[in-house]
Amino acid sequence: MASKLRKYFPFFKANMMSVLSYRFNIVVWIIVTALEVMASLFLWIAVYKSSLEPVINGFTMKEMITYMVFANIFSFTTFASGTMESVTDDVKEGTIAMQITKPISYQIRFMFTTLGGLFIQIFLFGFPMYIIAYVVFYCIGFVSITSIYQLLISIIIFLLLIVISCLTNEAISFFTGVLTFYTNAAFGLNQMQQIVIAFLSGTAIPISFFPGDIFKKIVNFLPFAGMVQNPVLILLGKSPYLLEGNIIPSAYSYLGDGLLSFALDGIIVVIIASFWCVILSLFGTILFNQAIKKVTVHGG
Amino acid sequence: MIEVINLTKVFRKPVRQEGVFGMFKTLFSRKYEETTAVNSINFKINDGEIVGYIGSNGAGKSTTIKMLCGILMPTSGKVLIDNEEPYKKRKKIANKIGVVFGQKTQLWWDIALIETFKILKDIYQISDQEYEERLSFINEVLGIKEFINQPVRTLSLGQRMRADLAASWIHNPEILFLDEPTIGLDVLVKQKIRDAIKLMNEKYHTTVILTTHDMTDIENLCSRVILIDKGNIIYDGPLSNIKHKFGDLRTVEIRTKKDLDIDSLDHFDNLVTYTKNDCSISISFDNDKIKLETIVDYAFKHLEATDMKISEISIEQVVKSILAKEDK
Repeated sequence: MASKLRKYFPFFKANMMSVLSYRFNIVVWIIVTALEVMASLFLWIAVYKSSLEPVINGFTMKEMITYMVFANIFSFTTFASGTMESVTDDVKEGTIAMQITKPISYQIRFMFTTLGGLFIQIFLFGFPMYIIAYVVFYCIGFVSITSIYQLLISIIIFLLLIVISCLTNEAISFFTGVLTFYTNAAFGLNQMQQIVIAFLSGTAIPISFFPGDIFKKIVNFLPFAGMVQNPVLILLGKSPYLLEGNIIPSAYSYLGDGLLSFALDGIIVVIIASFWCVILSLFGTILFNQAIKKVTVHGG
Repeated sequence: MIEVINLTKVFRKPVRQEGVFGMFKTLFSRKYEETTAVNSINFKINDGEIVGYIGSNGAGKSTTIKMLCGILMPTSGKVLIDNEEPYKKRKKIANKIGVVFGQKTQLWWDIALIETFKILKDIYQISDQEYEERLSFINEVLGIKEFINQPVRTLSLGQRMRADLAASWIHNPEILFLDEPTIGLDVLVKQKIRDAIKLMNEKYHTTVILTTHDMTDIENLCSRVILIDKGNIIYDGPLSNIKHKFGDLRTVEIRTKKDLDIDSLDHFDNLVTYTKNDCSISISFDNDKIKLETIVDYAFKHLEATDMKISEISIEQVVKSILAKEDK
């Protein structure tokens, strides 16, 4: 199996080098995101200050601030657009013809390419940011750790979810790229994809803030919740299934408070996220195979 | 071995209407026009052959090649490469074929050329020894060492085409599909590319299918020629025969003293075709239908010829006249 995957390694390495050479761009991206996050934090602080209740939709002010910061860091470390653009370019230029005559899977090749870039984003930028943020928030009392075991469980599940979220993002990106085979319209699809994911994944606001019980339930059912909100909540020691509008009954309601409930809820998050990841990837594969049959490579 | 059986490709395109209103109408209309690009063609190519696949633009050459590579699905009929259909088992076939599309490149654009080869080495799982051996062969015949460390975007067309040919062959495929590999190249580079193809075929028994508009490519490389026009094969056989199959065609080139009124050549009643240049006239004819002596005699007596060159017709002329005949 490893030898079969070895042929994709050049793509991983090539993009890793490429992203590394663009590290200045990444720093700028982080600064810009930080400014945006700060702006939304000021807004949230104002909201909480003028609120009569200290807890709004399941979040205290401290929890909300912590959540916002981590949600944005997480979004940064798992989302690396690129596949959709590359696929679209290939289709437009016709170079897709050259790619599909090679003995490699088009989809897996892009997966490795994206992971190469994310490697840099996560290890060079993400982990330092996570650690600094966590330590800072812990020291100012915004984050509480109930026990060392809780921290361990949180971290393990969180790391798993980083991987799954990366792969899910990639699956969606690939799927959107393949869609251009049919629609011939890439402009707008990229923006839409980013905005939809940002919105429905809880990066902008937690899903419990969405209006309407049914709407919350629908959004919680979609794969996006598991792509940002749930992993971040697990890291912060909160079970997402305790929030309003959830469709999964929390283990807490069966086993009461405690580490076991938290762990079980975490495992369910992982299972659901993995399920979506696999389904979305398969969608992409199937759509791609169909698209190839219809393709008319231009020019001769 | 490559087998093509009743291969047909029909393209369905929506009928596009002009103008802004037309654009909207097209969005909602269900009218399609069908073009048959390839019309139930049949042929077999054996291992080790170098076959020229020629025809005018839009004849269906590239469409056929794309179906042979597995990029395009046939509308009906099938292609068999070693008994597998390439558009169904693309990854399996991929190891056996190499492709060069003259207008597109498979090289990674921003990085040094050598990196593309390294990537291909991993993709095709080529052993270190074979890789080194083939790289040195490539350098011997195509001379790419001088620019192998440059980013591909900085290469000239000639260098890029050489590199593309090398990249398509590095995994020693059984079959090479070359779609216009010499397009836009100067005489010297063309020769290099032809020599490379010939050597690959001689040393490694690579089967080569070559589409080109340059008849010198054909004369240099191909023992066999398939001529396609409007989706139909109108000739499939040895190169030498094509000249004779359509008659014993000759060309007489005459130098004349001055501008002459040569409408008199119409006197020969469509048995000749001619082109007139400043001080020369080129007359092509079928020696079976009208004798050489008649033409030569007429040239001296009525066209005031001062000099004359008689040659066997070039492939170019043959193809031209075949296609012209087909049009009638």
